[in-house]
Amino acid sequence: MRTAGRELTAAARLTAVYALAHFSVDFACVATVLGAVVPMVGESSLLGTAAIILVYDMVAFCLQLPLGALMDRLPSGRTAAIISLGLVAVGVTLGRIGVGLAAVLAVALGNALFHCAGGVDVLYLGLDTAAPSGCFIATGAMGVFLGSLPAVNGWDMLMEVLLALLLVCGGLIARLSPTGPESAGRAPIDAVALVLLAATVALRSYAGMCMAFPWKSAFPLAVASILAVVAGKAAGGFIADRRSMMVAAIVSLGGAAVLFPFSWTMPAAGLAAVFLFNFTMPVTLVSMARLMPAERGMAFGICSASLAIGALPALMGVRAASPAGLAVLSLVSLAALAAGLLRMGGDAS
Amino acid sequence: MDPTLAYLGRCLVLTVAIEVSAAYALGVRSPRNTLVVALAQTVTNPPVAWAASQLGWSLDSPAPIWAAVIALELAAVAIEALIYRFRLDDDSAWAGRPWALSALLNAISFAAGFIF
Repeated sequence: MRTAGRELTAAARLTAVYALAHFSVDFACVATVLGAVVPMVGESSLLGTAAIILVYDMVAFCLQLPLGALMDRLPSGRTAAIISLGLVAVGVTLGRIGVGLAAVLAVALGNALFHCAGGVDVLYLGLDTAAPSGCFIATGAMGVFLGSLPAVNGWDMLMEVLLALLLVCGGLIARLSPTGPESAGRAPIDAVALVLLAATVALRSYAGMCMAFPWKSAFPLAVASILAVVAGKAAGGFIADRRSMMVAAIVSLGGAAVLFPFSWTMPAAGLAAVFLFNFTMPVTLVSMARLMPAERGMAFGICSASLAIGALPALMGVRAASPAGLAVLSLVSLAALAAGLLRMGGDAS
Repeated sequence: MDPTLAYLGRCLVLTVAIEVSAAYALGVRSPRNTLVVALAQTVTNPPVAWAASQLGWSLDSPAPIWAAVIALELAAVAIEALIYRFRLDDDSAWAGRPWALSALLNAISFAAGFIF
């Protein structure tokens, strides 16, 4: 009993440390790209700004495929996570001294490495639970939000604060003892289920980019919206653990589809829809890892690359930003996710 | 025909031709593996070509645009490698090296793109 309690505490500590580090890394990366590099390109140059964001997005997310595969060969992600924080710190410093493109590449590479390293260590806690993955992923949204605030980016002390945060996280990660991979033999992978799960992630990413609610220009509601994203990602894992992956998927995307038509005019409906819509993040990640238990780094990489693919049309200006569009996207996502979970046995509990 | 669609079609045909030929020269020769290489291009090439055209990429584009196009190519390399990793038959000489095969084929097709 006491050993089980200790294991639970160790798992909770590992999740909390990586969640804090995820917040810090995303905060530092986005603040560097939007606060330091984009102003160098000149915000008036729309194409230049889009190009910088595209470089960051593609490197940070698609590079997680090879890095995830690499992570599957390592005993744990701890050392890679510490190296990644160093890379992000170098990127923050380069951004501050005005070396634009190199700063973007450093933070993007650091971001990719951190996500894979932290992601595998959290997935090594076990595939019978989605809550740790949900908590780990959730905090990134808050980091991205803070990093994109002009008021925060105009703050003189920002670089010092970011570097201090990264240093603290590096110290905390160094003290962790990740459990490492369980011995799981490679089995044939259901490619159709893989594509369905990846499509769900891509659709969620695209829909997330289309959530241009008119009321979000009010700062308190923008904060509430980000809190709904964070809470939704975390809650999705707990609900999947308590009920099942399928129940979490239906409640999430079915509920969001019902609420999105009212989300433009009623902030409460919009916030509830955003909260529900984000449940599927840990559901898709842990399901993907269950598809390939011997390659959890690769599973994390596939989810991340799918995020980048989903964001690409929106980054290029093609957005279905309407209540009906979001409701349809939710229903299509639900169909893809439910089909994927059914192919995996339907249990997915 | 819509000029963008025509452009994307031209890019796709050219890329499939170049990468399938290069793959054949590198030893990826069975009909199934050839089909996998061709299908991988149909997944990655249209989005990359479309995004590059939206950015107005050309030889004299500024550094951020070039960087974005190279980042898109890197993303294509990663996604094609994933497809090769799961779908190439084991009898291919490259079955265990999907990342190297993808990087090599994309480097060849990117270089050939300059010539054309």
